[in-house]
Amino acid sequence: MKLFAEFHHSGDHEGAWRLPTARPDRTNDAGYYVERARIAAEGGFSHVFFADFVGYDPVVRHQVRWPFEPTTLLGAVAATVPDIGVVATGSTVFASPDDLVDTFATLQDVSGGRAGWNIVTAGAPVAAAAFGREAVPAHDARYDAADAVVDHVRAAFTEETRPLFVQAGASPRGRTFAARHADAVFAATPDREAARAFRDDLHARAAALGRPAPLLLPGFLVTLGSTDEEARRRRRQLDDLLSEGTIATLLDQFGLDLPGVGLDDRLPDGLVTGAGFQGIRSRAAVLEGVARELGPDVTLRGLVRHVAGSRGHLQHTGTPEAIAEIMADWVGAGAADGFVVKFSHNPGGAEDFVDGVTPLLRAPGTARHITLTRAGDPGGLPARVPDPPPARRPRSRRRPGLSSLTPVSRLDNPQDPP
Amino acid sequence: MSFAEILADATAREEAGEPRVLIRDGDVFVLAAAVAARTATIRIGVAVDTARTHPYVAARKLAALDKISLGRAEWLPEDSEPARRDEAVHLVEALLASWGPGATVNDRERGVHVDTDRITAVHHDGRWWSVHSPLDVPAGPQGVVPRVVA
Repeated sequence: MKLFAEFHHSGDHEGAWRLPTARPDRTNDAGYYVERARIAAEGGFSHVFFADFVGYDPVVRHQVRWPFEPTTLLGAVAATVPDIGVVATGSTVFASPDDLVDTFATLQDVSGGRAGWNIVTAGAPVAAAAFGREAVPAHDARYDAADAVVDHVRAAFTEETRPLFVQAGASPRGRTFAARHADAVFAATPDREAARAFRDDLHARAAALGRPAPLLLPGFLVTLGSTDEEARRRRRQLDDLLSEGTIATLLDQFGLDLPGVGLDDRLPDGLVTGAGFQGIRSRAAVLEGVARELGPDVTLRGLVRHVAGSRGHLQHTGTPEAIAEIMADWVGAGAADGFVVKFSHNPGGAEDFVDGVTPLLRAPGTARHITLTRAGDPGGLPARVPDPPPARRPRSRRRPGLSSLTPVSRLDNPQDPP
Repeated sequence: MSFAEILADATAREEAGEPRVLIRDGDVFVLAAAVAARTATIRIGVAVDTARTHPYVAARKLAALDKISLGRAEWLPEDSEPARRDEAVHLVEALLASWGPGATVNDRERGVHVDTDRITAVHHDGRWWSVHSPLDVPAGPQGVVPRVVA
């Protein structure tokens, strides 16, 4: 099983930055991310993963977005944390092919070959405004252009020295792209049978191209508690921290067309993506499935509270045992090769996972026994991607600062006192 | 030069009391960030080719570098066409100033992370570049990252 840790500053749940334990005062602090990466490395994660959404979005009024350009941030993380892979999002729309080669060759150099490129072909309309373009290129045309970009980047490396290629497309055109290029696919597949079909489809498409199949790594939002009740209480606390502004806008990014539907109105049958929408097209169907499971009386507010944090990805609120069971079950059923774990909140979410779930995944001789994939193992990623060492080092999450090599411990923007 | 060589050079210069280094190789922002994470006091400059770097990209990466280095970032804009360089410098500096002082408020009670009223969009349609947006991240400790000359 392969585990990636996705870090979105205060957690994936949009209300998490308002928890008393959150540290929104550290949104501009690179050391915060280094601490998260260290915890992930010690907890069996092979990679940290950083998303990127280029362009100013006014929802930053209510939500922490992505305060660091990720390739630059991961240059610092890779130079500081020696034993974890770093996957940075890079858009084929807003960087030139030569710039992408430079960026990922340099990240490979700095990290000693631990870098990955999350290939994004999309751009939100706000990104087009930032770059002075009138519109984001059309969905399928973007993929056609991206094929050439990825071929260009691949050709600049040898197969042994290239970065890991990660991709998140789930539309039919996205799957073709993933089968052709990706080592790993990061997917929003909350339903196990749909995930198994998706994985089978990726295997078939890759086989037709004579390529090894990419690993399927569903995103998995975990909200942990030592008991079910504690976990549910945590989740309710987070949902109650969603501002009205966040609730009203959370589904906008997926282009859902719900004219005249108020927050407390029942959802209409069929959530459809607006015809002109050129963003993440595959998510509307995922959200529709979620809405169906919630029953006929679900309101828009109810759907938003349910998908907050996960935004359509697999999620579970419960004990470490339940999380470990789901992971083992999905991998055993051929629905996943691992997961991109998304934490409900941080600090705290990653620590709870590493303390609670990791030991269960590592424990031999139990029904849920899982061997964390080692480099070069069948089903693992290519050998150039080192797995973390299996032997546990004594861990202390209170290690101060970035590392003994660096003086950086905390950064606050003096313009923005906490 | 490789990262190991650049880091060794920067560390030696820092120990010798030199004030600054300039990074010219590879992805200058990634290398500079890595050097920043492993040094303490030396200022770290990046040479930026403004002919091929969109000012929006340059601004958000300079903001990241300034945060990572705790305010030690600087940059050297370079271009065969001086007017294009000047247009890029204007845009980068305007974008780095687009979040006003105190924009990040972190008001948990009201659920307001950023006071967006203190953010001003940059509107520019120039000969080479066009931007209609504020920067999507707050600037680092120095605000507008200083320039150096060659």
